[in-house]
Amino acid sequence: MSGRRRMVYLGQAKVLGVADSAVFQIGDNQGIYTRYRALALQREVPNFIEEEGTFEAYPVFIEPFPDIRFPPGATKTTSQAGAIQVGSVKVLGVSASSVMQIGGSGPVRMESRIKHIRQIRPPGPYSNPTGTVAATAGDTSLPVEASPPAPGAEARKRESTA
Amino acid sequence: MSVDLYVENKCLQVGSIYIIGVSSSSTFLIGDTDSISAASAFDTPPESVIIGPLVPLSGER
Repeated sequence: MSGRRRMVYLGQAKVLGVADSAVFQIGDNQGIYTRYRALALQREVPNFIEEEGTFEAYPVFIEPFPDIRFPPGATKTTSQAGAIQVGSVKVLGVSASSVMQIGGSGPVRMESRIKHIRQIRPPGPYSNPTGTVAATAGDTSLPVEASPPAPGAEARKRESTA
Repeated sequence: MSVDLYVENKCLQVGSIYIIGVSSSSTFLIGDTDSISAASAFDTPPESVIIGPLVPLSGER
């Protein structure tokens, strides 16, 4: 199915950032297959613990994508004439298992799964781990939390369990 | 029923391209390809707003 590919003439490319397993390729390749998984967690009180959460706990990372294919028995004929000419390209960022390519490519398959979670405190006054006292909306009055943990308490706890 | 697809790739000229970002398993391709199959799942249902104590996510290893 893969026939000849057109030549590509590019005058100038300017890419400011390539991050998080992204690829900027100049030239041909036989195919592309990228996968991307992310747990996007927002907390009202920014307190994050190391090695927290697993992808397997959420169905969005497990359920298979529908398999879309070129119809079996169908024929595809491609003829190449001429070239591709581009003057200039400017890209601010390529990230998160993405590909920017100048040239011919084989079959491209890309998958992305993102779970976005927001954790919000119940209404009432409280003190967050940084020691700042704040209050959320509503007239429900909850007891103010105890003072923030002492510096290094979390590390000591981990050492004792290890 | 049979499907017969004929593609003729001719000359192509573009002046300039400006892109802010390519992300989350996306592709920006200048050239030819056999096929592109892209799938994306983004889950932000109402249940993903957790109002309650800020407990760690399950499955801590």
